[in-house]
Amino acid sequence: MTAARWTALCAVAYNLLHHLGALPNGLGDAGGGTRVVDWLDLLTPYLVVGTALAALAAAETDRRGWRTALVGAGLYVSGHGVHLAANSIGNVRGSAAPVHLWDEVVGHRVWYAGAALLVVALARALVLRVTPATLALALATAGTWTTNALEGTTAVGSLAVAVLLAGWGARRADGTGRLLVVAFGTASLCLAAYGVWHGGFPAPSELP
Amino acid sequence: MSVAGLVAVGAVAMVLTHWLRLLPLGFQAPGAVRFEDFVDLLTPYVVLGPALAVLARRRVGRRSWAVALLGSVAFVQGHGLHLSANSISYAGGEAPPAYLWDEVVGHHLWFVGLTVVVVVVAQALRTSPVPVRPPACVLAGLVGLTWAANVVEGGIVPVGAALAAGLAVYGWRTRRSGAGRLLGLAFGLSLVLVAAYGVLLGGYPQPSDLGWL
Repeated sequence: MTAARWTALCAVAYNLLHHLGALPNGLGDAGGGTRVVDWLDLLTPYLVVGTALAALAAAETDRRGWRTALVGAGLYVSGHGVHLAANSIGNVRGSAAPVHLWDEVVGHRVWYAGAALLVVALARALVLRVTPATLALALATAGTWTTNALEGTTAVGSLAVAVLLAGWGARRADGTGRLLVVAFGTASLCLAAYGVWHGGFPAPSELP
Repeated sequence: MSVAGLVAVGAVAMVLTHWLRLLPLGFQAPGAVRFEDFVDLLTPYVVLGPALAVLARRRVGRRSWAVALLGSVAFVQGHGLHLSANSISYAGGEAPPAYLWDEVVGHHLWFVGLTVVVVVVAQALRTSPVPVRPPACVLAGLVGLTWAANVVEGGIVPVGAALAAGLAVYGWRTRRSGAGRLLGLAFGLSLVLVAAYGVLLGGYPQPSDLGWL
């Protein structure tokens, strides 16, 4: 399979699995105080990181690319694991300390930092074409980045990273650069507009 | 750094980071957590970093990389699940589902992942001269002790002992290489220690429940 197809699969996995929390009532009780989505969410790192690394292997990225990707993968998987357990416990016990710390503060920040590094590693290695399908995936990624930043309480950091990625894309004169601009430029605009509209970044689920 | 040096660094990191709970730091960090919880965030990098560097040095093939990375994801995921659930349990008790994510899902994924990575590294070292000298034997012994303590304290004795048995057998079968002998020593010792613990205490109560840790 080509690097472009692995990347498309990675984007699909990212956009679907990073919205698991939006499924109604977590798809129900799965026993032991857990919900069905908690168990589905265990697959997230394998599907997102696995497809990202497969894309890099297909693109025959260089040593620096692998180092960036492996550090990013470590952060992604570690942060996701920290978040998953804390979030699942928080669903039963509430967010008393240190549940909120591990779920929202440490978990989300480490997880999303890893996702950003994986994007960097992929964008370094790949030359993608702008097609309706890749544009749609870039826009979906913009939506996911935005909703995750707002609901995950990482809006300021995620906005800063999105601006940097969009700026990097704007300086590139290839399809990958244009897709970076579409994904992260749109995310930057959405986050900035949300922040201005609400005078800050309250989580959407907490809005009246 | 030489391949043998990288293996030694990885083994030292595994031993040190898997005994973090012995640090007398306690509840001192912000947010009702222990300082060692934050230090523990580094565990995946310091343990897996040298292991993956060994694979890069040995120029292993795609299949070995794929297996090692799969094991690495399981290690990091299990460790992350354990870390937050354990920290939350320490502050607020082990009521469900904290125990499940910490001891059941977290520990099993973590140690299965570690085993997969160890196997790939051992395979990569079959034809590499890893010297079996006293410091290497001591380090192998410490790895065995750490594995035994972790599977008993982690409540994963059946799976942990089975994984150790598999690694000890693999070490025996590859005993012509230094890496094979060290592997056999480490995980053979861990099996002996786990068995002795079970016989002496008539089961596997966790050392922390006995007030030992």
